[in-house]
Amino acid sequence: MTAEERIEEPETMDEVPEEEKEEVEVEAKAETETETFEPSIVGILCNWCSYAGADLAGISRIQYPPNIRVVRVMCSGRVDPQLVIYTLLEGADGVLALGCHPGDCHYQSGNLEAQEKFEALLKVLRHTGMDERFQYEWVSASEGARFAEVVRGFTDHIRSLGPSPVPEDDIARFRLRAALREVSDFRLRWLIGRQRNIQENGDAYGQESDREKWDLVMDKVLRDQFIRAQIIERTLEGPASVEDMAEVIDADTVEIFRHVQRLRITGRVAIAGHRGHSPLYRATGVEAE
Amino acid sequence: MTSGVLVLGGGVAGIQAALDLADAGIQVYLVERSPSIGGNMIRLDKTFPTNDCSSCILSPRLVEAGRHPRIKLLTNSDLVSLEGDPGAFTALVRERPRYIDMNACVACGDCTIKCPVKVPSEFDEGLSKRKAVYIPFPQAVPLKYVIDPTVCLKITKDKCGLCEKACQANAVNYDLQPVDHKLDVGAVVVATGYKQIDTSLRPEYGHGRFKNVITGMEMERLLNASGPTGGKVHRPSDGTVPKRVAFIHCALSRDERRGAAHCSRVCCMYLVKEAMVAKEHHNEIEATMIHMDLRAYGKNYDSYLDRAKDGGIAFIRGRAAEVLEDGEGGLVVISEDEDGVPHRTPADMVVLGVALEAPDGAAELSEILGLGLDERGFIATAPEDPSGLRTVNPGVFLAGCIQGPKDVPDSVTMGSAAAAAAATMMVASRVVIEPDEVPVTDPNEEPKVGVFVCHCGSNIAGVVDCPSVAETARNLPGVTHAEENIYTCSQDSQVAIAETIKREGINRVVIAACSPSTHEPLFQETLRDAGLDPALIDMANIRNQCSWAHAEEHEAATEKSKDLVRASVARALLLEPLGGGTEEVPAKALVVGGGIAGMVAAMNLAPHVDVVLIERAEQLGGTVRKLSTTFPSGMNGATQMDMIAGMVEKAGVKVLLGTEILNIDGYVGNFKYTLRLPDGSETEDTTGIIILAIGSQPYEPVEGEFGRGGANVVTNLELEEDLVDPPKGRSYAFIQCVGSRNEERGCSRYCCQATLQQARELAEAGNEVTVLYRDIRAYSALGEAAYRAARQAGVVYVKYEPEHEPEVLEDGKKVRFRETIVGKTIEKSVDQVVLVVGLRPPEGLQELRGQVRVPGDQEGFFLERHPKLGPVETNTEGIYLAGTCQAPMAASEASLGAAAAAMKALGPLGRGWVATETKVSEINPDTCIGCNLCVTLCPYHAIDKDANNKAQSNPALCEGCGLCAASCPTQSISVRHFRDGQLRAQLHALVGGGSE
Repeated sequence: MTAEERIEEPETMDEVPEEEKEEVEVEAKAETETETFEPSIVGILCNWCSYAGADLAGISRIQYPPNIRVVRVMCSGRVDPQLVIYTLLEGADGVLALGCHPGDCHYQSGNLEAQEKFEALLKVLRHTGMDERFQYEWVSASEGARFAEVVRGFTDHIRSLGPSPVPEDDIARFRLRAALREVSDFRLRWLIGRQRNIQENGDAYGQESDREKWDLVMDKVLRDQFIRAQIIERTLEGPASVEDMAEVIDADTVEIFRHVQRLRITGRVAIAGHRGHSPLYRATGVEAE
Repeated sequence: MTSGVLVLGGGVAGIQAALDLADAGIQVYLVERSPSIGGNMIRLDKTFPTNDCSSCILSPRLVEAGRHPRIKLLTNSDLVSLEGDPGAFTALVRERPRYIDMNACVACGDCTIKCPVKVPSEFDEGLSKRKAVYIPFPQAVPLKYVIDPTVCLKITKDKCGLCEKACQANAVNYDLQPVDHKLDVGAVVVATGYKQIDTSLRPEYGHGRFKNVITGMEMERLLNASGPTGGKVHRPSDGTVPKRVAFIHCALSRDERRGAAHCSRVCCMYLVKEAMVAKEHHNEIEATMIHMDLRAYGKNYDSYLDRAKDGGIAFIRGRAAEVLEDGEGGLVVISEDEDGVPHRTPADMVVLGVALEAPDGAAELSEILGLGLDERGFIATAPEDPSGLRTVNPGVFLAGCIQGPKDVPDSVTMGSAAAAAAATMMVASRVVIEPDEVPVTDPNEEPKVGVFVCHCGSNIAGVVDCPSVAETARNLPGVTHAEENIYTCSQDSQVAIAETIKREGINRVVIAACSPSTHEPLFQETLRDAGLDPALIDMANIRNQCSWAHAEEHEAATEKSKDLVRASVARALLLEPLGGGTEEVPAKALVVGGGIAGMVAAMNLAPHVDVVLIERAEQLGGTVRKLSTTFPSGMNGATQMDMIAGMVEKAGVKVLLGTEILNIDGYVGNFKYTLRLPDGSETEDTTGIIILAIGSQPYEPVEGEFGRGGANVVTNLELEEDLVDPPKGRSYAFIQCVGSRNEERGCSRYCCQATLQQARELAEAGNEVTVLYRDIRAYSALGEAAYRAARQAGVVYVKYEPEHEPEVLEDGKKVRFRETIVGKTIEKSVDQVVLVVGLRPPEGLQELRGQVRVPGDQEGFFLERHPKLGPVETNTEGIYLAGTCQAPMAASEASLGAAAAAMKALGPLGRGWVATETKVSEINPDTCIGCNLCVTLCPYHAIDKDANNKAQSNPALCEGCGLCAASCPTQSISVRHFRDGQLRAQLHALVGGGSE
């Protein structure tokens, strides 16, 4: 409900026509739930800066919301996007990844590589509608207050988003599973792993790369890969026609069909039968994530 | 018996010296007068400016010193005599009887329950009682009971004997006699600390007369969670929480007439800390500081003061004259500000920042060692050594407060520096240390998890419901044992845990306590002792992340603690033994920067290993060379630097002048570096460790700032040239804190005392000198005396407030400032304005930071490993910091820091090895397709290709960051200890397997 709509709202429930009353009540209930909702938040922190920053927040007795649960890794570069999606699939309302400030990485370049991964991950999550539930920040060992501030800000943000749709919403889970499949894909991982190097040193042919162009290519790749991952996820559930797929995939049948053909060529889906004139497809040679 | 080093005093400085020497393979005899090591620091509640819990950070060191194979601990002992010459002393140490057999005592405490005698506890400053048979404090090392023979009824009157009957271990023996230890020692480190001055010298402050006037140390105990009031600030008269607490600074310090003439250096900061902590405990407390100059000279100290001011602590400038009773059960502090205006501060309790002086027995000790005392009563230092480290006996060195009051980092630094000086006399006595064997644990054994939940006194248990956390743990799958400990890290708990692990057959350990950053190594030792691979542990940080961060939310903090324990157990079930590995460290050191710090560091390492010292300039000596006179030695800077440069050469250091460092790569034991030589050629070499001593640069005021650009405006460094032959009959105005103590930067530490020197020289040469200052921070051993001398020489000091900064007019021919005494703005004609500038990080520091992987602090200097206990180390093993590249400091302090850095480096260099990373990456050749991504990504060049075009990782080079594992397109790489499965198990336990 937007602000303008809210102005139109009747003053008391008595003025509301009977048939609309139920709807308003449902919304009101949703709002109360949001107020009392305690989000479950996971922080994945690098050992050297951010974990030490969290320690310092504690030592300095800086108070912050207790919703965050911390997992320590040695470097933010260790945070495989898969881990973040896995955590969201497990039902976390938000995931926060923290590392050393650029230039301060204990392992020289881990946080810069992490940034490439996280930016790509945000794009992947955007297709699932879950991108607001992941955030990455830099917190140094001397920034106890900043750690608390980041945690407070993120907790408030997740609180305002409300609970994760994952436990209730089949489509949300379906999309996240597809996203997990997508970030496990060889080609995408290779591209993400290479992109910083290519930006800095040019490609294998010595061609300089332009960040904007690169991002356009990446956007296209990410959309294509997401559709393919969804096709695989859908056909893993059982044989499906292109029309069946279009019910859960945010793309038209022509585009889906194109990707199905591509997946057939690479041997990842096969025809499993027909329903009327429509061929049904099933996934082959892949396992559920 | 192997010759060793005698360390006198088991406080933080002595412990530091002992551990450093022992780690480098030198035998140490650590002699402590009282029954436990720990000194004064272990009695402090928190430490400024991080508010770290003092006992939390020091306890692990006590345990380490207590169990170190090369430290022989002699507590309850005194030095009787020292014969012989430096390098070959014979020390006679007398160990007074404890009347408890140390081998038999298990510290069960049955004796103390039965003991009928109650006397005031020294540890709690008399605020609580102890028995005649007692342990000084719960974390005591050695953790053995002791009988106080002066009050024990059996020993004094041959009555009682209850403890002997109570002791099931038969440890009590009233007939024990003193034991003499004759020790061959090459050098002696004196670190016997300080004591608070007798407050009856100033009866008008009321300590001893009024119950509610207490000392700073008494306040520490009141604030401490394990203190007499359990951390409640209860005033002694009636046990209520005082509403108004006044803190009197400089109580008997800077007091020539009846107290100590010197500045006690720590009181400004610790009183502010006590006020802040008291307010944390009781929000209703109104704290007022009655202070003179606020000497917040250390790293991040100024921002700490700002926090205090923002936190509502009141500051009243002036000297406290008297404490009176107000007739209604309260007190009034009478003070007088600099303008002579009297103030009355009503208070319910008064805390005195009592002066620190030499400890009891300092005179006797100095007699035994033949050293003499200085005018303050501390042990005298050699006149030619401005750092205070050396004495007139070339085999005896000073560390910590026995040389004069010091804060913890300065004591720690000096402890390491004294160790370095002692080590140079022990080159032949260093023993080869072989790496410890790592116990082998069968990875296929069924996991049995033991969970240990720490109360940390009340640090955790005061907020988190520890019994219910332990109960939750007990019911988790795989957990076969769960228990609670008051202090899981204390020596008795360590022993008990090791026994429990063995008895219960535990093979995975979860410690729910504090941070693995500080305590995991300690618990890993316990695992070793219990015969387990030390990797089979996980820590749930329920203190820093729960009880401290959610102090008001007991339930939420408890739930969070349970989740963290659940995740730790899930992870522990999947942990694998990692074994051990070592990396050779060649006996080669590189020192970058040839100023005073670099030279001193090189000089200290040269007797032990090959040292290369590189300097960008054509000459050694750095900034100090530019000084006409250095403080406090009074020696010409160039002369002093030439002298040290001569010693560097004599020590056999390879000096490369006009040489720049281009790149550093590699890791401890195997650093590679590239130099550009004066002829422009580049050369590469390798080294075991690196000491960074690249100094700092003076702040350059911007055009127009305090008249900068004007013909008669110079900086204090530019003034040095004029001081070689000082002019006469001129008028000077110094402006302090230019480019320091502003929003971005704290105090630059060196400048007040450097100005004292310059101003005094000019005044004595017949010039008129005015110093416009904010606080005179003359904190060092000779600082206060120099301040008085400058005033006596006619230097006029005028204080300014930052909101009324002095103005420089007419190209520096005139200054305008607010005179606070008459409350008027004054314009004064001068011949020269001197801007006293602060220090900034040097050029190139930023670039170097990336290469050596050392983060920067808030001001851009190198960040030390720990502000209190690791001031010269970094988080990168094998990289050490010396001098002003870590923080602004005086030259004499830089030389101490440099010696300390050398000593730290002598750990790996002296042993010849370091333990290497075991959490390394593993590549599955069956799924690797040779795409090369990991090869290009690895920051350590640890991955290359084998003959089959498969990637392979070199465990000696791998640092275990896990970037390759997170990036591998075919997911063929796993990093040990942080495998996907282990992380997913944790994440699952936190979210999916949570309490809902």
